[in-house]
Amino acid sequence: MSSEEREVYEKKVLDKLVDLLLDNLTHAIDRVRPGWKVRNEARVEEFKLTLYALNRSPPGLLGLSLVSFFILIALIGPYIAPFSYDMPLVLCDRNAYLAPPGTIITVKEGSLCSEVYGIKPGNYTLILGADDYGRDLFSRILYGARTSFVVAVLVMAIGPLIGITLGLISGYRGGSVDETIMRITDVFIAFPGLILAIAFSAVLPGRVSEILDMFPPLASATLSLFALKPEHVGALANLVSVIIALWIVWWPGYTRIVRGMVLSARENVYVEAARAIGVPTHSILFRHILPNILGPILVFLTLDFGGVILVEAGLSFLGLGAVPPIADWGRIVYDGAEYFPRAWWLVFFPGLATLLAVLGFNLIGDSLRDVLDPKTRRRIEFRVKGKR
Amino acid sequence: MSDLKRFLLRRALTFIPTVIGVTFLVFFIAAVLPADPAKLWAGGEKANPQVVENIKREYRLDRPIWEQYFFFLKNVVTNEMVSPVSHNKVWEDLGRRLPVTIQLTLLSFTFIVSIGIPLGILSALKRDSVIDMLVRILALLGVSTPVFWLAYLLIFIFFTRLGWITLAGTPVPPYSITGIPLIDSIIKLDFHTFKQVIERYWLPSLVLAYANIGVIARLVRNSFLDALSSDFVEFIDARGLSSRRKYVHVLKNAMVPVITVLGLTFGGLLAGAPITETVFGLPGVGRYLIDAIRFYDYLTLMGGVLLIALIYVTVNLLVDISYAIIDPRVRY
Repeated sequence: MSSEEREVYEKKVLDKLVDLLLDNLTHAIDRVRPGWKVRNEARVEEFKLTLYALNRSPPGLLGLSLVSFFILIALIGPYIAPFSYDMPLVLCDRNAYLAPPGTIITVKEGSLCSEVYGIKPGNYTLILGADDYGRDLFSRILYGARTSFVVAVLVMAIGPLIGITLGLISGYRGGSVDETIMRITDVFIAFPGLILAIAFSAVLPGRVSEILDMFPPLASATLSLFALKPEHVGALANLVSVIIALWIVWWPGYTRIVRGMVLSARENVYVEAARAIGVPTHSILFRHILPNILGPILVFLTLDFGGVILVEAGLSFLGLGAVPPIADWGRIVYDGAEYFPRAWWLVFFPGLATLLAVLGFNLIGDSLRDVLDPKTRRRIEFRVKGKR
Repeated sequence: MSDLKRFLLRRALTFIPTVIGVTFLVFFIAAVLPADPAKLWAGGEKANPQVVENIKREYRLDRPIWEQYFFFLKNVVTNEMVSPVSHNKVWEDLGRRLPVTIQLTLLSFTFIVSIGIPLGILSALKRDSVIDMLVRILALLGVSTPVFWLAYLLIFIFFTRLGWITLAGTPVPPYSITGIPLIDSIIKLDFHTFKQVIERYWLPSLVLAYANIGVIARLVRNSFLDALSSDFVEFIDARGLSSRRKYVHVLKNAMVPVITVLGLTFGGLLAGAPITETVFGLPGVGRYLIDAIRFYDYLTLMGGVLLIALIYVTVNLLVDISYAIIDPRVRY
């Protein structure tokens, strides 16, 4: 046995982690639904192998760590940020005005800052600098991660769901249902995505703020989701408009792709067999067809997660979406561009954060495509299987 | 040939409902969704109620929805759509800005084709080499980079540091044939204007193209490799044709899917125009749309979005038709 082979035979730490997670998960499901483990053993094994293969792809691991890092920031960022997203530090120290990275500011005892805003007296280092109000850029980028990821999660939870469902129905039913859905899809695809998003997010805020005024609990729930202060409820309408706009933009692509996949999947013998023994349509769609086309959809979902973050940043860079004082990567660049190139950090760091977060998703998506593609999959799979 | 005719007929028949749907959606966005536009146009909360009433009557906002829709369609066709904010005709305002966007997208498209396709072929021929990996990285970075960030980075290098580019004005020659300086100067062989246009537009176009170059290169690479492993290549080898002849055949086959994606890319370029034009200070349609939104000028928004969608739909129609003519296999 050569040393290279032995390396392949070894289980990596990550593989053990996968085993631990999945074994416990299947065990838990088995508790709730007895017999599940035995029935789905092959499927779980298959899934494990996919994850092992992903563990052997360096770009995939890099992407995974980038994405986990940013998800962590989005979760805890607002709590670990040194300052609030709207704290104008110029009130404490005039040096905070457009402070370059690394500026040290002093908060004096008994000053307005410590008395009214409750900032402890002492010296603070603004590691990434500050903007024209003296708001700490590092804190704002941490808050911005929350904004980006909440938007992305909300968009990806609804848009593709609509698209996939319509695609399943359209492809399976065929006939006039198919024709109608596809013609409607054509209309939405006739617009370049960003243009449609721009149009919707420009006109929606009026209506959205009416709705938010009508349902205060909805508004306060959204506020806490974005980690915003209650007094900034007025800034919410534009942000919510962007989410709705992106729902509208993000479904047609999925409808088209899924329809195409269903058209070829429904010709399979197992679908015919299911139909012959009288399995209901929804069951055929969701239990027989969907699991078999899930691989490619998963790749698109991963890539689009990054895509939503990028488009959202682009929209807020155009002045749509997040409005001040909400911290948003695109918006920070939009406001900071006024002082470019003098205050380069206001453009550079938020953009870099966006780039890294989106790159993470694209790296994962790219590796997933290799892992899930039957053509490249075999090569990786056999190497993984050999270690048993 | 009857196959081709049937395909063209079918394609044309789906084109018409799409265009009608597009006008309907645009109308819905800009006329139905905004909450009380007349009040905004009259000056907001403190507006004089009489003025608001007048505006409503003038723009038929007090009429039923379907009547408003036909009013909108009639105005679009007869060039009677007037902006409530600038009081100019919307089509004329947009028409003045269209050449800028067309030049930007045309140059961008040239960059994509002339860099992306050779790069893709190179990375297919040298599969799994350093070049192949660099192209993969380029494609990944291309779809991950915020356009505005790259734009400011390059402005910092080429404008602030090197002073190679200018960020003000757009060259307009004294003559006009098509209305697009880039094309006019080529027709007239006016190299002075041509050079000016290129100097102003090369960097914005490159920024706009950047996201697509890597993607197209990857696509060309995969498509080229697919074609290389198909049966006809074996046949060519068996016949003993020269490898140059072989690659001509492979390239022809590999280009078929690329053409469709290039059509879609055009949409991406139009969509990217607002951001690029904003950063580089180009007075194009995208920039104008964003300004219109700032002033609640929903009629200009309507016109601009409709214009972009119509350009995009038409480009894709032409792509599909040329696709069917080039490749008999796609006629269904």
